[in-house]
Amino acid sequence: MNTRIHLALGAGVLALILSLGAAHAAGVDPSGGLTGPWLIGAGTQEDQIVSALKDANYAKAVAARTFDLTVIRAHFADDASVPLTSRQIAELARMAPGTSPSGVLTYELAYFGAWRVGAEAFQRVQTARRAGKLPDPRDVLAAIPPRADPIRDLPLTVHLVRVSGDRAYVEAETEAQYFRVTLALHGTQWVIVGENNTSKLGS
Amino acid sequence: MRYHIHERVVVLTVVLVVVSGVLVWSRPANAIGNYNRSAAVAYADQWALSRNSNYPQFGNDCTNFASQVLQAGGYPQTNPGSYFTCDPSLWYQPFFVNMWWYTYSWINADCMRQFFSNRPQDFELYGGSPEYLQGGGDILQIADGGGLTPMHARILTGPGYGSDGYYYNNREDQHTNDEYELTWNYALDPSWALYPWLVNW
Repeated sequence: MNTRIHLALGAGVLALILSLGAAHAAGVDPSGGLTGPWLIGAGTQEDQIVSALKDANYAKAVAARTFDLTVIRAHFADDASVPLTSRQIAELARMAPGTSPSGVLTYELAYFGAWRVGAEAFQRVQTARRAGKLPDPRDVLAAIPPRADPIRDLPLTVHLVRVSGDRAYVEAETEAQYFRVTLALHGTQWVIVGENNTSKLGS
Repeated sequence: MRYHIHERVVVLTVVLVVVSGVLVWSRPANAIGNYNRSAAVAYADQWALSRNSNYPQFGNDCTNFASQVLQAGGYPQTNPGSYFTCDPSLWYQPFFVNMWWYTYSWINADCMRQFFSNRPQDFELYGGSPEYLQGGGDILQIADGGGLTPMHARILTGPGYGSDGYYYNNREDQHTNDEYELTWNYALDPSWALYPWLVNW
């Protein structure tokens, strides 16, 4: 009797293992796709798109430390069909008054351009302090230190990649924020033409 | 003999009063070292995951919490002036007529930044990596809203061990998404602007 029960249990477990294995081999998520990252398609093109997003984020991290705008121009582009969000338009007006909200490249250039001006003010503040003087209040108010910490790789969890011709839409997240990004294929390279990111910090 | 003792006591008292008066008088109003960092950190750690009913409370409570920590460290509120404004010369929050009154510098990250900027003798932006900031009670403001304006604030509580057991140069407490002893760079995007404020008061 016991032997039969054991055999039945063993067969059941074996069947479960085999079915999970078959599902895995077939690319089927046994959880029904309710949890975890997933892609629509999982081919080379999707990999290129995700890589483009990662590279663009890394370029921004580099620019936050060097203000090298060439890396930004290499990964972002304005696109008339992808307007800035209302929040980006408001921030653009604050960072670069009078600038036409042409797209995400314009926005990123304004962001790092204004930050560079703030970093220059910060340098003047530092110089004054080293000289034992109180800095100019206008410089103190304008000062924004460049990022000085090492660039930390925040793993990107991709939830969705949707491709339509030379356009792609990605939803993803890191520990810090949620990304909703539109990309366009320029020649052989995917570049970011729209982004609507949300911090996880609250305020 | 008894007269001499009284005379000595009087002279000694006069000397003590004069000396202490000179010391107090000669100390700059904003001399470095007044900030009680231990008290600031103790407050931050005590209230990181809850709310103190002696202060106003907000859904977005990060800057309000940073203000409370500053006050716990002894940083004095300014004299009252206008309320509910972003005047960079004001920072206070009294309770009277059955309600909280406050300046926006008490509760709003960018108004707090403007207040700090208006007091360069008391607050200094740090230029190195915040990883090396170790002054408990210092404040890290974070521009996580897409622009360069700080939107969030955390309290640096000093070096120690993170929840993962590893040693980190800095831990932080914060309100809004209430957190206790985060590692300093947890959930910080590498391209956001940071405003690490040293309290030099």
